[in-house]
Amino acid sequence: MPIHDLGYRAWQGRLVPEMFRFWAITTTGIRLAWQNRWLRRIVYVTWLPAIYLSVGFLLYEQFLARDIPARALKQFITSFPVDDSAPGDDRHGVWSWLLWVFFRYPQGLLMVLVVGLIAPPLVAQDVRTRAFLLYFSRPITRLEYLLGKMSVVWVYLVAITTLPALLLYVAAVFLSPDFSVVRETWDLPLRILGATLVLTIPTTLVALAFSSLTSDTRYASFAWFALWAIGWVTYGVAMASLNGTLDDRWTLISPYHTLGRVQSWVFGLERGPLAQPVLPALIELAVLSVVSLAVLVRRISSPMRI
Amino acid sequence: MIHLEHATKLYGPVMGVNDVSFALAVGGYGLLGPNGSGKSTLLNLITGQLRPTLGTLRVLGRDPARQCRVLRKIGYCPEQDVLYEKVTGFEFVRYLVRLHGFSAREASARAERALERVGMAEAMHRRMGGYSRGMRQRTKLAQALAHDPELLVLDEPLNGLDPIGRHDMTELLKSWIRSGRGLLLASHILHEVEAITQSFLLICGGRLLASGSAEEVHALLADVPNQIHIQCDGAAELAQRLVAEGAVESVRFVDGGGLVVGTRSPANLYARLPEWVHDTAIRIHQLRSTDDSLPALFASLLRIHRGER
Repeated sequence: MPIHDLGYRAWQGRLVPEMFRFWAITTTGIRLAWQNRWLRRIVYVTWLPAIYLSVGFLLYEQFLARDIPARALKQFITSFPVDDSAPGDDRHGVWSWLLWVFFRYPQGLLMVLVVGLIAPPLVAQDVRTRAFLLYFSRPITRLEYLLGKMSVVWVYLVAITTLPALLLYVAAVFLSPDFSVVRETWDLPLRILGATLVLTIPTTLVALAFSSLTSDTRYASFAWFALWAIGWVTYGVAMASLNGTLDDRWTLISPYHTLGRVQSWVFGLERGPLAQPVLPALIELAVLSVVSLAVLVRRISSPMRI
Repeated sequence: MIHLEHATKLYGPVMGVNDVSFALAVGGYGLLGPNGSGKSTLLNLITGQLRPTLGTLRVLGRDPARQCRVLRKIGYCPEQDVLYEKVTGFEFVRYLVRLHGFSAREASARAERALERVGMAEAMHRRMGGYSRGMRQRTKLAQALAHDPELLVLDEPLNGLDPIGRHDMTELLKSWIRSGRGLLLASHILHEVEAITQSFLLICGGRLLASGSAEEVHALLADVPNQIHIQCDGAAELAQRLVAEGAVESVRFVDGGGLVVGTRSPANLYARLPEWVHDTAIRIHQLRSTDDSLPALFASLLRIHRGER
């Protein structure tokens, strides 16, 4: 008589590879964040500047074809770097500048809003609900947890900065006379990716560090917006009090201006004898990122440590 | 299934678990101890959330704190409420199942099955913010079961459940043990655990005081005087009679007319008490053993450990 084993039988199906386990945290985080009506509205709005700047690319190509004067471009954006007296064909420089403007101004501000809506609850609600007990009683490491949470912010930041910037570049190629411009500007997509890294890594780490320090989402939101606002206002007041003669190193007091400095370097705009050294800004962002990461790791590990 | 060797967990100067050693084969075990006895610390060690300060620990042959993939085979239900107010019970369980590596489709199917199994079929698509305590407890249990683990580790899983819910969960956990899987159930209520399993680990002050079957624990306590509270009229007369018969070790009068007696043979006392009070003016209103409760059991065990037997 055969004796059948009716005891526990392990599941024989395929599991998601371990290196992608964090993605479950990410996709859930993205979906939950998307339920916020205000976030949806802002994300839709973030694509408008790309449409606006695509007109800038179109006007510049017309300017190169001598169809319109530089004055028309300056009416579009006052500081457009063109001049009728020296209508040199600096397509690479102008495209870089337009992409930098896109990252620096509209997306730089909208990024603060988007991250301020997404990041504060990401870790804070797990602190509040003691969800670490459930996360870390599963085959998930603290690093995977962190990666999953950071990826939520990264996906949104890529959606509002990198994707429209890359599409803007593609649109610019199509608006140019022929595809030979790709030979001239092939490095711009890479610079877009570089600017994305500069933007996403420190901002995500800082926002999540704030989130991990509290169980109340509102405090994390407040700290995030206060960081940008205080930096901006302090820099602005200092500039005003010194009639705009402030040393460029003072940009380090404002995270927004520090980011802008590094991004302009990434896009190759910090050139020539008057270019300011970018190293202090890079060091500041690196230190901010490392400190934030240390806080995050400590806070994620601390619920199980006394 | 679980193997601890001199496992000690220190929280700074505070001892969470103190030099605990045991080896458990596959089966169901009740971890009993009063509040603050170290049950949750022990469970956190077993689920890899804490590392022992001293000693070693193996669960299913692995160190859960260093080899977290073994947690794939463990289902854990913590004592604390883990509540996401804005998500439904189904989304909550599905999410946690996905963390084990299941695809979204497989995770959905498992979440649905587990929630049905704990009686949450009707409410699984409602937001958790509107759940009662019992519903949250069932949902927590569902997330522990859903990935079909080999070992289920539950910390006070019956808290907040109504009598029907307790009965359902008790039957579910008994069938879990019968299916050949492991269960470690922490509780501070003796009869809850007794209804599910007859194997106990008794922990107090971070130390493992006793382990074995219900019979072994009772045998261990056989020589310890049981405390019996007798509420009666004529307490002095009854005390005189009990001492004269040599039926008690100690007698103490309590306010409100009654006695607390200590005896090594409570069954003998219960059997002969009607005979002793027959034809007297003694009227017994209430008779109860104060050793029924877990604190009394642990007090007795601690007396044994201190050599006061």
